[in-house]
Amino acid sequence: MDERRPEILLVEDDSNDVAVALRAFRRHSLAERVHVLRDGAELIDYLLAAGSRFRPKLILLDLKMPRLDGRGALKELRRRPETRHVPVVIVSSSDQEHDIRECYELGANSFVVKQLNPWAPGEYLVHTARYWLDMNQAIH
Amino acid sequence: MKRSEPEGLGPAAILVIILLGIALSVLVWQNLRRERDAEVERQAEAYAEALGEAVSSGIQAIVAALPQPARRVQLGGGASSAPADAARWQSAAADFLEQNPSTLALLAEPGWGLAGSAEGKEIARQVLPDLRRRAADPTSEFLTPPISVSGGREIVAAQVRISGDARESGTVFAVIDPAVALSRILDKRALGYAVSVSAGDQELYRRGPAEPKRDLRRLGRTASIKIGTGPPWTLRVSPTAELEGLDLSSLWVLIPGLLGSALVAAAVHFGTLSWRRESALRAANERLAQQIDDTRRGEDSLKRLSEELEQRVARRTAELNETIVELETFNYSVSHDLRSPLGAVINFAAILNEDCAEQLDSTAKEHLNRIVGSASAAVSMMDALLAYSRSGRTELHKTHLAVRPLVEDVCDELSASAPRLKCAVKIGEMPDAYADEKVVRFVFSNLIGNACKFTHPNQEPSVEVGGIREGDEVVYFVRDEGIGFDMRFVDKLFRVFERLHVSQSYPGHGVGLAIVARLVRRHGGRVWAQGAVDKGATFYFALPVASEADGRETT
Repeated sequence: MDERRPEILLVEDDSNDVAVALRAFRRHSLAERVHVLRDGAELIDYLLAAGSRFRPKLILLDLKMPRLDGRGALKELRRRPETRHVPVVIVSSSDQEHDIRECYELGANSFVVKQLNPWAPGEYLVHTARYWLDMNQAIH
Repeated sequence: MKRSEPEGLGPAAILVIILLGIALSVLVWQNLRRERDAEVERQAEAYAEALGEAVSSGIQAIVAALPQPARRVQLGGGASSAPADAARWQSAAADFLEQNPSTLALLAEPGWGLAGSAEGKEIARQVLPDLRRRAADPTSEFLTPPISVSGGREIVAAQVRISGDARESGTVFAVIDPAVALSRILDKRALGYAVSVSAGDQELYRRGPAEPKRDLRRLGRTASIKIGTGPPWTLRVSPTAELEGLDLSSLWVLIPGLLGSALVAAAVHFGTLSWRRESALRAANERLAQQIDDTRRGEDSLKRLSEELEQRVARRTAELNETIVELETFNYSVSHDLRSPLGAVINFAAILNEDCAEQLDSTAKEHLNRIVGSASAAVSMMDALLAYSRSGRTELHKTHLAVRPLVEDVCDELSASAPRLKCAVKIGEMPDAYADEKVVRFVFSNLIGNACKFTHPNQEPSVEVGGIREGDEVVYFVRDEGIGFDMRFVDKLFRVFERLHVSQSYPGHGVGLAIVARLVRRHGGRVWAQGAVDKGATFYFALPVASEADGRETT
């Protein structure tokens, strides 16, 4: 596997959220392993460009995004054989049951509600990423 | 509605009908009488003619018979001597007189002498000389008009030749009583009629009443009879009351007329009455039908109106529901979308505070902490609002629910998440419910949480939970001995963001009870509270028990 390839794809259109997330990752020396994409379309383009052998360890996917949103991107990921088993964690401000259910049905591996913690901003993303990077056994 | 009884004919109309009936029957009666009169007149005329002839021929027959005894004497044969002939004459005359009672005396003029009753002989002796004297020829034949004789009688005298040659055979003179003769001729004839015969002023015969009733008298007829040499006799035939059907007086005619017309009047009266009653009944029926129609039309329009109203209500309800949904959506999206920038405020204030800690003095740090605190408060209010909004939209899944284990579970959770509340809950009678489990869990969690929270400082929370079945409801309560509340503001308890206690001492947003009330009401239940300041509070909520339909749905 190419060492320069990122292990985490963060798909998020809100620059504030991206900034907070990257700060948290940086504080845990994970920022180098994260690549940020602004929406679903960018994600799909990036994956196409990366080639069929590229397997990220985690895709953190926001739901509400311009152009191709989280649902559309998830569908596309699960439709493509080379990304069918890539771990996808939905990161959304919604805690609506129908959103959660729909995402699982589309093949999400986990659903995390965006958390607000003034004492440790964005820290929940680091916790989430740790699990998928260090603990999870993926299909390569 | 009172209506006058229909009337038959008025008295005037009845009177008119009766009078008309009488007039009609009188007319008919008169017509009948005219016909009868004509018949009677015809008969009287026929009788008069027939009886006149009978009288004429009867008298002629009497006269013609007069020579018979004299002829017997002449034809008797034997010794013809004057004394013998006279004797034989007397005998023959006696026989003849016996057979012909109208003949009173006989005188044969060969000189055989006078025969007859003493009275007859006397009359003969009275009238004979005068008649002989007047006669030009002693042998001539004659029949006199009636002659008054002594004793007040009227007689006629007759003389006939014994045979063709008077010189040889002589004549017979006779005194005849016309009354007897006429009686023999007329007595048995024309019964029912009065019959009289008169010669001039002298009445010779009468049968029946002398003065028939006036209307009958005019029906009489007369016949003139030529008798002998005198003026003709007059025979009169008049109907009498004995004649059948003739004695109809006007009164007897009036009675059937009156009765008949009364019957007609009664028939017309009752007919009219029944017709008018029927008309009245029919009119009443029509009015009734009209009223029924009106009522039905009224009902129809009422129904239309009510349908219209229902439609309008349904439309308004739909509009209202739409508005509510819009409001909820608005509430949700505002809360949700505001959360994001507020989150950024919190995050970056916190980051600033941490990352630039060396460049910031304590005042700046204090300000940043205030920013974070306020924004966090705003976010948690928004979360509360979101929860409230969700409580109005989430679907309810009612099931038969064992409440006691659920409450025990809630108490465990509360103690675990906030052990400092030191929740000591006494669970009493706890009937089962038919409700959404999440909702009941939330409600008990909220009420018990409040009961544990709103205590006096340094006071051990003491909470009692229970329930009771009351009619169609199960009523649950959560009672505490905490700070209570002022009953004047009880309504505020269940409104969003309304708080009765200062937020520093008792944290919260004042949304929990609003959500409780909303969820309970969505279950068709009720929620209320009782309390007093420093005397504790009791919160009640009632849920309807499962209807049979609900029970079937879940089984």
